[in-house]
Amino acid sequence: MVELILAGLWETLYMTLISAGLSYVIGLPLGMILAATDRNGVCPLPVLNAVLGFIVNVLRSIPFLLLMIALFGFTKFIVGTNIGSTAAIVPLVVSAAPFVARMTESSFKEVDPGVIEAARSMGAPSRTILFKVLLPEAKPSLIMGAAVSTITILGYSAMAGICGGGGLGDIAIRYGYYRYDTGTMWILILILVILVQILQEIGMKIAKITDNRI
Amino acid sequence: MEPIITLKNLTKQFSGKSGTVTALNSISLEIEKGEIFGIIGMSGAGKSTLVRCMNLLEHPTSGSVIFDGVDLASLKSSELNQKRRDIAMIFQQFNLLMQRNVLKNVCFPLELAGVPKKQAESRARELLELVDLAEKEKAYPSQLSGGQKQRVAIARALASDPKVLLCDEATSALDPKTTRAVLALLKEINRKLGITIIVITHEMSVIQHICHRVAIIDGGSIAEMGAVGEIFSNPQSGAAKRLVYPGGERTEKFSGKRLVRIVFDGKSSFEPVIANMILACQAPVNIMFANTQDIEGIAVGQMVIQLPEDENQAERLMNYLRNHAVQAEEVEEIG
Repeated sequence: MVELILAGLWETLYMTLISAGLSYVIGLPLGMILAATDRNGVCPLPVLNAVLGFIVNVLRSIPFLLLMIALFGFTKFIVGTNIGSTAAIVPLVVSAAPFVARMTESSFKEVDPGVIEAARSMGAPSRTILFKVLLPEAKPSLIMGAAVSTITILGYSAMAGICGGGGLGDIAIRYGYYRYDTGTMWILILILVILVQILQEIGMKIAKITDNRI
Repeated sequence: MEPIITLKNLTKQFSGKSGTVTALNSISLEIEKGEIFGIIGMSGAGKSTLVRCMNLLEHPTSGSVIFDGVDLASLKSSELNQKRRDIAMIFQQFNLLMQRNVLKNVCFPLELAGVPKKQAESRARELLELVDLAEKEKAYPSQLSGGQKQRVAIARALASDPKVLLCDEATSALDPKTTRAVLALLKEINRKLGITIIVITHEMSVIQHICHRVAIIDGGSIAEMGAVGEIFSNPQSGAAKRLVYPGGERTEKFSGKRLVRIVFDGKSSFEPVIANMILACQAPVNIMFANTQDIEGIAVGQMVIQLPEDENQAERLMNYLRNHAVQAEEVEEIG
């Protein structure tokens, strides 16, 4: 049993962290583009902003479980199979990247417009403002956002267990739901709660350490 | 002398949901090289918009901004960015980069200009020396007081060797003592480095302290413009009078009939009798005649004052004089 749980824990961490990383590879630039092309952004492009915003909204409005099933073909094309933790990463990233994009966008929009104006008055072009002003100034908020995103992905990964994605969620469903082994289920829930706590704490700590405003 | 900034018929309109608002209405002015030019107005008069038109942070709806002989609107955006290095700006809320330390903040404009890091840092240290913050180079903005933040902002603004420094309400978030220190620093920069300074403020005292010339903005137009001394001593427009006499101009004619002669015999000359009386009685008096002499170190003399027409006020003043053992008598005539 302990081995089973440890294997599940490993699968969960593997799915969550790899998916979170890949979601940021896609979501961070996407969020930066969303923030920059906004009507009040550093490089307003309303049409591009509306199109990207629409795609993000559509992806975010599909429940994860349905998205995972809908993407079976796509997943098979990319990974070669629909089963297992690696296969679960595909729908996790498709689902989480738009979420990460919105989190990033809102972190960027929190940056004091006065600072952006000051940079513009010094003759900084939009690209420089984006990378040298907005990105560093938004850093603590981005790190907090990363903790929230990773926790969301952790929650989704438990759902991925239903469709053979493995991980702690998979074990919880097999033992707790199909075998009525509520004891095991509660242990797994407890582990998930602890994981969430740890992720949140780490996020807050890093954000606090790297934030120079305090 | 040749002007550094010329505004010609500058108009700025904002169109919003509730129609078009004209923030600036055909403003024309010339700012001379090396002067400290003040722009004052009540909040909402359009002065912040005006200063933002000078570096095209706001694009004017019509009219032109000529900086050092170049029409800014004719420049491509990369050329405009180049020009903006000559027009530095400081702000009411300082607008420092909160995640960079003081030194790195001052280095920022130099990074933009592509100055090598070592060179940028040594230049930044020189500037921090100039604003008297050399020992704070490792501190972050959140660890500084308002006055210190503004001095960092000034050092940062000077890093690109600008020709003009725009100050948008730069002292409005500071207490009076810090305000004086920052104004003294600006004055020094103007004198030592010959940088033209444009000061936007709603406080007449700021203008009075450092400006050579001033333009008064009211409802998006220039109400009055001229040398600071002239505007102060002889404000013409309504807007100028409101700023120079914030409590309202007291020009009502003083009318009163009763005259009182007060004799100072040296005992009372150490305290400001008349001033104290006016403060205590909350009533005005008109000094008709005064003559004091210094006799062996004691002020001796007399004064004739006119009491106000209001009987209650006049009685209060007379009582005050009697109670304070000042020799006072009512007289018919002066002399």
